[in-house]
Amino acid sequence: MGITIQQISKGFGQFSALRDIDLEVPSGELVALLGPSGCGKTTLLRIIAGLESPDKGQVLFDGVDTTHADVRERQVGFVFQHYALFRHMTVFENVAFGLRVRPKETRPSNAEIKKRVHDLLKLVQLDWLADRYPPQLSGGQRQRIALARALAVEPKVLLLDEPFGALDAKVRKDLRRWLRRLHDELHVTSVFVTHDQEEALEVADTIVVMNHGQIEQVGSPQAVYDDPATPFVYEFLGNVNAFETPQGKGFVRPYEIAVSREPALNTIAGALTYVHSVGSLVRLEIKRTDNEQYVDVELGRDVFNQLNFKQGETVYIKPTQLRVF
Amino acid sequence: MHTTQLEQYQGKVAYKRATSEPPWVRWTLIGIALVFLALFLLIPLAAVFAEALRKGWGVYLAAITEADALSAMKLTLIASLVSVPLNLVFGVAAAWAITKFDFRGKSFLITLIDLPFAVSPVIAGLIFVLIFGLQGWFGEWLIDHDYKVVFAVPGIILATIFITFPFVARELIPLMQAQGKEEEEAALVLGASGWKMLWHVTLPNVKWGLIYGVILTNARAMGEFGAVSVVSGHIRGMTNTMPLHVEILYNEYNYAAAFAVASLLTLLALVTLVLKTYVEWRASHDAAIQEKEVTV
Amino acid sequence: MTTRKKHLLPGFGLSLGYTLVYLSLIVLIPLAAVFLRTTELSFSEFWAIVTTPRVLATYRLTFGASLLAAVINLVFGLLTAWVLVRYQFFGKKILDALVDLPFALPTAVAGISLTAIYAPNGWLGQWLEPHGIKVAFTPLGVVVALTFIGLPFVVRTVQPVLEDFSTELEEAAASLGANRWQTFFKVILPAIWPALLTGFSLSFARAVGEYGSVIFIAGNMPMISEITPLMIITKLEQYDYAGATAIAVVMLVISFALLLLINLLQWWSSHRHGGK
Repeated sequence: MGITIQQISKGFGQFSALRDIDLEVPSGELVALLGPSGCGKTTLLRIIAGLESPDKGQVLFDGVDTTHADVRERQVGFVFQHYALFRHMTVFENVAFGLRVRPKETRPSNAEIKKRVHDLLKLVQLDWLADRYPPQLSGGQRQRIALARALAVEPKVLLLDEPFGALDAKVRKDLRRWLRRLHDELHVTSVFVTHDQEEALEVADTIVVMNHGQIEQVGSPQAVYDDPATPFVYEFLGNVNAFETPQGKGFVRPYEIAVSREPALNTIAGALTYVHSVGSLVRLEIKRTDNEQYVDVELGRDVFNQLNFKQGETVYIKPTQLRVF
Repeated sequence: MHTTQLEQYQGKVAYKRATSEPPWVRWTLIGIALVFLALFLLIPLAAVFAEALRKGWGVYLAAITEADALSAMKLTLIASLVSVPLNLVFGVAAAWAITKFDFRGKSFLITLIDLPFAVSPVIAGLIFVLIFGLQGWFGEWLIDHDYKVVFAVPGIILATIFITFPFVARELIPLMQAQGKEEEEAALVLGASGWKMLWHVTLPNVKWGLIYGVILTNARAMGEFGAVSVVSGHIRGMTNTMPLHVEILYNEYNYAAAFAVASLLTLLALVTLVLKTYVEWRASHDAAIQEKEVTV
Repeated sequence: MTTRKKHLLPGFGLSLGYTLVYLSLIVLIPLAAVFLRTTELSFSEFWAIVTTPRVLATYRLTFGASLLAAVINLVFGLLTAWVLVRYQFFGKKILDALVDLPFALPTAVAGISLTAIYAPNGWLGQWLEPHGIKVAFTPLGVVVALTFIGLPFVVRTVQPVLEDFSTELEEAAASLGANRWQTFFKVILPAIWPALLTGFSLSFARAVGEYGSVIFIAGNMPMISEITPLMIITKLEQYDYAGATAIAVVMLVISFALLLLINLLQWWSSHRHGGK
């Protein structure tokens, strides 16, 4: 199911959380809402879910206006940041909850519920935890149970609020890959909120970069990374060096800089203050002679080995690509 | 949360550490505390039973099975059976409104709910006499319609409700505040109706706080003296609760009987303390389980 | 008109409406009745009633004994909380549970039991009597009863704060050369001070309104051992509703002021401990 957001605005008291948001989420896609904390991404997600109502604007599900529809009628699956598992219910009962609370006429039989829940638990590979209570689970397990619970009601849209935020780095990586695969399998339209650019880049089909209650850019991970639409997107996604140019502020990624020992046309002189050489990339920290600002440069190990720079020597740098705003 | 093992460990080696007192200070402090608690808690407790049994079991049993004593027990039970559920429903409603929604004047409302704690029991009784008594606002109307509130059972119940008014709400509000709204929101997204959410999600989560509040309400309801004393009129066999019956017997110099009935109330207090301790233990036990994460 | 704010969770109107109606019926309207009844008196009449020598004597006893009892509870309550949190000894768990006895025990029972103990032929009275110390049927008895009633408050407000108190702070103080006394007075006491003060005012407020446990042990002699709540009852028994109401208003005003003070204290302590 596709989601259309039209002219959504939302304020909390004096604070304006969202301003005139327009967004199109195509059916079956996995979309990331990416931005720093306070940018309005969670508010937007909650408005799509119906947990928050906008001050103005519309939310359309497959072209149908659902702005004022009750959460319960929207058929959305929502995975909360801290999972919000019912702590006094077993894992099984948590997943079964959405089915059990249906009115009698539409409620599946106990046998059906049992089968559905076990299928879902198998899907999230946690069938063996059915009788445990949420407090007895690890963070990653809770995350997957929360997802299974959200999927139990066969949502038309799956919404996830910082799904990996509360997990440690290792589990996070595994779950990221797993969510990607799960989405490929189910193809339910999904929107997740994150402040972690790496996460968004790795998992999403489309990234929506937000800042100060507005959308900065919408595009594929490659598009937003390689072709940022605004200075904010440039700085938020990946490391970047800023150069003052006569035309305005120019942005260069660390790997888009050539380094040599010889000065040439338009090169900038600087002192190599630090060499960080671990892994396949070597990071150089260069202090510009003219304005004493630091520039980060990344070189491939083989290139670095060839040139064999020493800490403290004077080098000349030149951006190979420069984007000016 | 400390584990008991750690506490024991700290207890054993404490004197070696920079953050503890030398043994003589420790034992002096423990000694003073024990004397204080013995003087004010243990001796009065023991005295009740000693006085009750001073004239033997025969007198004791006669005192607690006498007709007036039995009717006092019945009235005490009625007062508690009416006021506890009413204040329970109120407590849940108030806690729901206060913790799940934002509105102006919330902290003022919480203060108002606490008011009965600040009012002397005697005044709690007086207010109902002023409204329903002979010279009260509804006094004449009540006489015309042959209703009795003051010096009758309804007055006793009203005074009891007033006195025990805040207990359940007071227990629930901080608990529900701490738990936030996420689980309710999750239930909502999954399609639960309001009542189902309340019944399956909210109430089970605050189960122990709820029971705790009920235990406190019940103990106070059964033991209230001042407020009930003002509204009851002390009519034997009609408007006497157990604490009032104790007073009457005592004032008639029938000490053994007074203490016999008092011993029943004391047992009730002890049962209350045991239940309360059990509930506290269960609640912290559940909380401890929730904090322990099993990583697989 | 502003647009009505839509609430996500259901039941706001119902729960708040029910809360307000029930609160008004049981608490607010009846309490308002007391104040309205006093308006039937002129101010000079009111003043005359609440300042007769006998009534003034009850204020002195009620507030004096309550203050003394609260101070006793401040000192011994802190000590008890400290011992219960910091030390291990046999029977600690039972004593800890028993601290709440004054909450659970009907006040009338506490009253007759304390009277029996401190009467001239009682367990403790018989030892005190030869030394000229009379407890039962004197103002001292009132203090004893009020100490009993207020005992749990200081213990129960200080205990959790002491439990949460980080040993790191004490270790830091010790590492900086402070001895135990200095650590206690300069590090621990300031941290538990708001809780201590809250417990103190709660036990004072409770004592001021107390009736059941006091009337048995006090002896209730006019001008000597009569408490203010008893004065209200005495007036009521003489069908002097106006007099009872006037004294009740004085007590209510003082109680509400205390409640306000306690709320302020709690607000203060939560803001201090919240670190914001």
